[in-house]
This record gives sequence, C-alpha cells and structure tokens, in this order.
Amino acid sequence: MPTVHASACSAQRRRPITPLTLPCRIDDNWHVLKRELDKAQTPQSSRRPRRVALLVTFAAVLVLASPALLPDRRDSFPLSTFPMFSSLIEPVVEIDYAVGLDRDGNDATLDPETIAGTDEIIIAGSILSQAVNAGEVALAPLCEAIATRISSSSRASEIVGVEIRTDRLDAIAHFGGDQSPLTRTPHWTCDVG
Amino acid sequence: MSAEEGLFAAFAGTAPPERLAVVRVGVFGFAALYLVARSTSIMSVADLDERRFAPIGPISALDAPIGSTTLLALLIVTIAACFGACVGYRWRLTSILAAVGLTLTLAYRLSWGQVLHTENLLVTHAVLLALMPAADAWGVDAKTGRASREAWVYGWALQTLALATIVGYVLAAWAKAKNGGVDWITGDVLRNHIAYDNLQKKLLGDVSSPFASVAVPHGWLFPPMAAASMIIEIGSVAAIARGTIRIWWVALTWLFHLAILALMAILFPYQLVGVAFLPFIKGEELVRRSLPAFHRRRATQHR
Repeated sequence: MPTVHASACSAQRRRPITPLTLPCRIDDNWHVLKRELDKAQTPQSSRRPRRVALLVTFAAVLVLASPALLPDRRDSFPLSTFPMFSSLIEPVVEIDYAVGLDRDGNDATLDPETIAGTDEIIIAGSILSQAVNAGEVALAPLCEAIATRISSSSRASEIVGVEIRTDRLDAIAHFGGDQSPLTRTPHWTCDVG
Repeated sequence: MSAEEGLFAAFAGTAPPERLAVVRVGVFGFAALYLVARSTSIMSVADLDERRFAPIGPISALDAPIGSTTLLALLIVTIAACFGACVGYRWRLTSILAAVGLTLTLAYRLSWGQVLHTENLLVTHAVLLALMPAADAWGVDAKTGRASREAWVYGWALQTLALATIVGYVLAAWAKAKNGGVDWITGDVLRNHIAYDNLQKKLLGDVSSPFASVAVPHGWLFPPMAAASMIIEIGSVAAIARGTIRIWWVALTWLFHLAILALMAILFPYQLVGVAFLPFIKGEELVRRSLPAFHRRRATQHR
C-alpha cells in the first residue's frame, strides 16, 4: 500500500509519469479507488446491490407491462392482455352446445367432462364450435364420443340420444324469465348405446 | 444520502426476513396444494385431440404435445419442488425448479384453446420469489446467509412483489378502457358479459351463479359495479404506499374477487385465499398473533 507525503506529491502531480512521480500517482489513484471501494462495500451505503435490485424491479415491471406496451400483442400466459370480459359484447349471442335426449325427447344437460373429456368449459365450448364450423366430418365423431361417454356413465339408462346444436339467445331476457331461444339450429344427432 | 438513494429507500423501506418468508410459505405452499388439487384437470389435457394443441407462452417452443408420462413427471417434480421451496429446503434449487415447473405446467394446461387469467399472479409471484432471498428465515436452511443481508433487501423484495401485483390490476383496467372505452362503465357491457358467461355455463353443464338471475334483470346495478371494479383496479397504484391505504385496497380487492365469484362463478383461488395479498401485509405479525405457541417456541430457541 503506497503512502507518500501529500506535500511531496503536490508538485509532482502535474508532471508526466516517471519513476520519480509514479509513487505519487499511485497514491492519488489509490485513495480515489479506496473511496469507491468503501462506498461499494460498506453495507450501510452500498449502492451497487441497490442498483441491481432496482434494475430487477424495473425489468419485472417492464416484462409484466409488455402486453400493453407492445403493439398487437396476443393474449398469452403468464403475460396477458386481459381480453376476457373487457370487450364490447351484445346481449344476443349464439352458443354451440350438446344435450342429451331422454325417451320423451326432453333435454338433459351434459357437463364439459361428458362433452369433451375435460372439466374446462371453455375447451368443451371451443371443441363444439370447431365441430360445428367443420361440419359432418367433425360432428359425427364428436357426437359418437359423447354418446360413448354417456353409455359408460350412470346416466346411460336415462339418456337415449345426443344432439349438437346452436341456439341464438337473448342472454339478458333469459335471466329475466324468457328462456326460449330466438332461433335453434340442430347440427347432428346420434343414439346412445 | 443522494436523491437516488432516498428514492430507493422510500420505495423499498425495510422489512424483517420473516415477512418475506411468510410470502414464500404462502405462495409455494399454495402452488403445491393447487397443483395437487388440479392434477386431474392438468392430466386430462393429455387425452385431448392433438389437433387442439395451441401452445402459448413458454410452451410455444413445442411443435407438438408432450406425452402423458412426461407431463406426469413434470407435474410430480413441480409439486415436489413447490413443497421444497415452501419449507425453504435448498432454496436456490427448489425455488427455481418450482417457478419454472409451475410456469410450464400451467401454461401447458392452457395450451388447448383456452387462456384463463386466474393463475397469472401465482406464476408471477413464484418466478419473482425465486430471484429473492426468501428462505433466510422460517425455513429448513434458514441459518444460511441470514445475517449477511440488510433489512432493505427484504423490503425491496416485498415491494417488488406488491408492484407486480399492482401491474396486473392496472393492465386489467387498461384492457377494459382500450377494448370497451367509457361504454364499459356507463353501458351494459358488464351486464352482458355476466349474462352471457352464466348462460354458457348453464347450457354446457358447468356451475353457474345462483345470483345471476337475481341481478341481471336489474340493469341499473351494473354501471356502479363496473365503475367500482375500475376504481379498484386503477386504485391499486395507491397500494404501493405503505400504511392503511394498502390494507383498504387489499380488503376491497378481496371483496371484488368475492363479487366475481358470486356473480360469475369464476373462482380466483389465489386471491380469495388471500395469498396473493401477502406482500402487502405484515404477515409475520399475523403468524405470531395467530400461532402464539409457534411464537413462544421461536422465542425460546433464540434465547
């Protein structure tokens, strides 16, 4: 650790680096370096860890806010654009669904597990809509798959058929008491068992 | 103290390591139990038609679905890692495994034509926690490194978790403003959404809200509800400040999620159980108050 008397160095500082002036230069720089090291290493005033922490916070916020910052960002996971329930929607809607039919032709509600083999209603709804859009080629196997699930369930004795259909409904009126659909389009029917 | 340091100190504040430990136990404990509870649903996607595979987020790297054995292995490893991270065992390893596993497992389950938003915050918290020294207290390996850290580190970690929560709520408000505009508050948008969502659930044999048929016919109820939800979501920004205001925001937001459950039968389990809001409260004091025997035992150990 170089130590050179301050007054001896003051005259040397403006001169070029030579073997004579070098100890003074090292001494000067050492003090600057030590001051910086002290700043960085003393826990009470450590700046670098705080800067790193701040950087992590900023990065986290930027990444999480990126769906709003980037144009045309698609909804994803775990970063979302939160489109669900934010869009404008009309009260009259079309819903694709499947029902069981009993011996008298009455409807029996089917759950997502029976319709699509999953407990997720959105997946069940989307499987039905895709089949409706694809037509016979997708409707027939889907209807058969539903019928097979029913036949191996406890409801096999009460349900004799399956119908895949689209109802056009006024959702507000439905909860107001008028539950009849505005229009009903049956797409496919199949037997159970 | 420079302005930069002052600003940072005001943001981060200080906190004891136990407060962050409570968040760790809550988040990873919840994640482990949630995955166990949802394991049947997670595994059910393995039986879906391969053509339905629509990868999202980190799963986008896959061209085709993984096999059911791989999915089961991922699920088991993630549950084990979540339990490990919850108890603070080999924190560096288990926390990263748990965060990565949780993200992949839940993203995979949502890669079949449905993107839900009920698990985003859980994953966000798990990933951020994995970057933080959350196992310095109340964990199996708690003695390692605890003394070497200052109180601002825990304060910063908690504030970052809180900020991440806030960003989620602000984004939800932004989406409503962007997609629905003023109409989202003043019009029938919320009412139509609630009616449609419940009707679809009813026709597709899912659990629908018993309150929908009571509320939907009364249109006047919905603009105040829409305004309240926007105020809560935008008002989340105020919860970055410590003190009473954030407790009020937490309470209102919890009620907001309860209202969603009541009117739409949509469950936000992470929020309703309260784990999502742990970064906002003094969790360690709550633990000490509610578990006096635990507090006495810890006090005896420290003597």
